[in-house]
Parts: sequence; C-alpha cells; structure tokens
Amino acid sequence: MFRGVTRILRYVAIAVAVAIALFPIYWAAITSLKTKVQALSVPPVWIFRPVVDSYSYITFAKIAFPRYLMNSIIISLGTTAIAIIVGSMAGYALARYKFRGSDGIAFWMLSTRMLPAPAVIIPIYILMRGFGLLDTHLAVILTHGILTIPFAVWVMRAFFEEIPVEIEEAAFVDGCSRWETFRRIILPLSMPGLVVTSLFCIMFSWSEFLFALILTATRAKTATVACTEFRGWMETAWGPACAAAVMTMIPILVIAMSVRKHLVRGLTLGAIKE
Amino acid sequence: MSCRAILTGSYEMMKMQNKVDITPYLLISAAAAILFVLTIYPLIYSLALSFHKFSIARPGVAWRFVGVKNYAKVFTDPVFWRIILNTLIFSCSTVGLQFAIGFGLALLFSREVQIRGEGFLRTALILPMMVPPILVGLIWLFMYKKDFGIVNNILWMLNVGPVTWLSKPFIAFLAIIAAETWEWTPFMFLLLLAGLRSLPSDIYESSEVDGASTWQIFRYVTLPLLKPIIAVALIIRFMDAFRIFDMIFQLTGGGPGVATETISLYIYRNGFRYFDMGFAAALSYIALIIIVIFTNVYIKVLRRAT
Repeated sequence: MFRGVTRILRYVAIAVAVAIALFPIYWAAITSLKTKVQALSVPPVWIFRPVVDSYSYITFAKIAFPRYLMNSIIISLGTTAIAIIVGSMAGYALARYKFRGSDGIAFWMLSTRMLPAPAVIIPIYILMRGFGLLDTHLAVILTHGILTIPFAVWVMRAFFEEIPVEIEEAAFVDGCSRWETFRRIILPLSMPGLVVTSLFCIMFSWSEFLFALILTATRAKTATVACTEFRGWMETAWGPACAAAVMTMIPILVIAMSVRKHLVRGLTLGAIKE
Repeated sequence: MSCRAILTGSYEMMKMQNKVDITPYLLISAAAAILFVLTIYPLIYSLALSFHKFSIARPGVAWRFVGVKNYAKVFTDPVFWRIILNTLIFSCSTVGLQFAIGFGLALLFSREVQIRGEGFLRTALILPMMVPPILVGLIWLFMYKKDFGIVNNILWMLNVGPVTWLSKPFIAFLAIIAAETWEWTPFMFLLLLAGLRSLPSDIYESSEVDGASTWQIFRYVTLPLLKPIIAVALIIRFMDAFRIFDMIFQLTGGGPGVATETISLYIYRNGFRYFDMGFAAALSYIALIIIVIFTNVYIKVLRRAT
C-alpha cells in the first residue's frame, strides 16, 4: 500500500516536472501558429486552426528572417571549422606529448572560457573597428573562438587520450611517419569525437547573443539578435517573434538531441565522463 | 613500451642534445595565438583603458589619463554595491534552487524501478537548457505579460492577480529567478543523474544488508560519493549565473531602476549606452577578479576530479 502511494507520487512529480519543462516551448510554438488576434486573446485560445501567417510574415514581409538564420549558419560553421582545426591540433599535443608548461597552457585555455563576455567586449569592439571588421561575419566568427576553441581543445584532448597509444605505436613500428599516423590512424579513430565537438561548437555559437549584438548591425546580424527586434511602438509583434524563436530553436534542439549521449561530458568540458 | 614512452624517450634524448622537440609547441601555437588576441590582449587593453577617460561615441577625442579615478568611482558608487549584491543574491538563489530541484528529480529517476518511457521523459526534462538564453528571455517575457500573458491567465483562473511581473522590483527579481531556474535545473538534473548512475551498486546492496535506512544510505553513501560531481556542477552553474546577461537583458533590461541589474548588464550599460569606456573597463576588471577567484577554485576541484 505504502509502496503504491510513493510510486504514484513519484509519477506525479515527474509528470509535473515534464509539463513545466515543456510548457514554455510548447506555448511559443503554438503562439507562432495563431493569428494576430488569437495570440493576444484573453482567455487564451487552446484549440484553433493553425495558420502560418507569422512565418510568412517574417519570411516574406518586412523582416527577412531567413537572412539572419543564414548569417547564424555562416558564423557558427565558420567558428566551428576554426575551433576544430586549431583545437584538435592543440588537443593532440596535450594528449600525446609531455612538454614544459603543458598543464599551465591547458588550464589557461580553460580559464579563457570562463571570462565574462563584458570584460573583453570593449577591447574586442575597438579592435574589430580598427580593422574595419564591424558588422562582418568574420568579426563574430573570430570572437566566438572564445567559446569554441577552449572547448574544442579540452574535449578533443579527452577523446585523443581514449585512443590507445598502442595503435599509434604499431603504426610507428610499421614505418608510418608521424603525419601518416595522424592522418591514417588517429583522424579516422577520432571522427566520432570530432563530430560531437563540432556539434557542440555550433550550438555555443548559435546561442550566443552579446558578442553578436555588439559586433553586428545589419549585414551580419545573427538570428538570436534578430529575434529580439520585434518590439513595436506599443507592443511586440508576438506571433512573428514566437515564429522567429521557433525557427532559431529548431536547429539547436535537433543538434542537442543528436549529441545527448555526450551532453554531460560536453557541458562540463570533459570534467565528468558518463 | 608505449608510444608516450617513445615520445618522451626521444624528448629526453633531444634534451641531452640540448634540443627541445618543438612539435607540440607548433601544434598548440595556432589555438594559443587566437586565444591570446581574444583574451589576453583585451585584458591588457582594458587594464590600460580603466585608468583613462574615453568614449567610443566621440572617436576624435583621445584617451585622457585619470589615474585611479575610475576605480574610486566604482567603489564609491552606491549603485555598484547594489549591483554586486543583486548578482550574488541572484546567483546563489538560482543555483541553490536548481540544485535542490535537479537533485530531487535525479533521485526520482535513479531508483531501481524502471519508469516506462524513461528515455523520452529524460529528454523532455533537459530541453529547457538547450533553448538559447536570449530566447528563454523572449518566451518568458511573453508569458509574463500583464494583460494577456499565460501566467496571469492561469492565475486568473485561480482568482489571483493580475500581477505586474516585471515592473515591481521584488516581483521582477522573483520572475527572473523563476525563468533562470526553469532553464538551468535540467543541467543539474543531467549531471547529478549521470553521477548517481555511475555509483557502484554493490555498495548499496551491502549497506542495505547492514540494515541502513534510506536516509542513512543517502547521507552516508550517496552524498559523499557524489561530492566531486556536485562540486563541478555547482561551480559551473555559479560562474555562469554570475555573468548572466542575455535573459535579464531581454526580460527587464535591469529594471525597474536597477532592481534586477547584474554586473554584466551594468558594464554593458556604462560602456555601450553611456559610452563611459574607462569606467566600464574598471568595472569589468573587478568582475574579472571575482571570476578568477571562482575559476581557480574550479580548476582545483577539476584537478582533484581528473
């Protein structure tokens, strides 16, 4: 009897938690499918015929939201490419070589990830302005390196360390050069790690707001920045705002689902392995 | 002999020949160079800037040296202390709530009895932290609207309200804490569940055989074993909460007044609204020192964990 009650309580608690976790996302999604009147109606409309007015408004009318999505895609892929290339090189060095200062360098890189963005944003802004890079994709791509490079270094190091050194050693014995060993043995074996790391980097860059806000104006504006610009004179256009939010969220949620087995490791920068 | 031994062996040999293998330095140089430009350079630059008066709004006007005036202004600024207090209260309360709720949920999932559809439920529970923080702000702003927001609509059904969520100091603070807790409780849940799952089951079996109560097992077995993961989770969340920007920027912009303003917003406002770059740089240095202290604690914990 007592067991039965605790079991029911347990299910109820989990159900409530899931409902609270999903509700805001659900609410934004259904608001994006309502008409202008339905979106703001009191009491709220729960059952209605979905319309895509908001989506066509942000796609074809005044605000060309897909352009900002494209900017986000360019920026996140660009910064990920840089992070993966320089990060896996550094990660490999840290995993396989013992050299003076390796620990210090690794922890210095980690600590850059913890910097509060406002602490570096002013000099970076002035620097980018000096190079004439304001409102370009490149400025945001480089700046997002603060988020993605330390991450790539740490996580790739952990992935490389998992590849047994004996395999490399065997390749050495068979007469492979260092580069051949890397290209033929290490790279294929670390492919899963590279893919996971890339997806995380894309997520970090895609979700970032402050750097993108300050470094871009019109041409390179990212989706997250554009999402905040539906405020009108009196009231925000909530239908289109929700539609933009949904369009920005979907790629992230898809990626997150595909890396969910690695989430713990990724979010703790490799500190905790599952 | 392992590869590392070969490599260190050759390293030793080179050292004997007074040569150092530069390969690892070459491999690391690209990442180090980019991070140097993005972090070390700005930090030196803003250290210099923090002793000057400068505005980006007037590009023609050069830096003017003002000594420690910016720092003096920070420490005598009553708003600054209010903001530090806001930031600390905000970080401690949200991280505390996230930890309590996340741990509770993790314990609900960790019991031996399997739940039907567990994979789906777990995935659903971690979704909030995948939503970019700025969009969390946007969605909650919509839900908190006084006249048509869903929160007030639900309260209205219970005959409460309407509540003006974001324009009264204390309530606005609570509203922000709620949204932040919604977003990041999943993080605690995810990490603590992974931790609970990784604990060896034989310890539980033997303590049950020894007649320990559920509470005793939790207090004397689970908690001590989970300590490293709890520490990592708390510190990561605390550091992120301390530098929060996006969500508050969207929800209240720091208002009403400075009731919900935190350190990152204050730096942003002084630098990019009032264009007082020197003052903003001094502020960011103080924030940085606080973060560096936390980071060092974090790294110590990390070193012990790995």
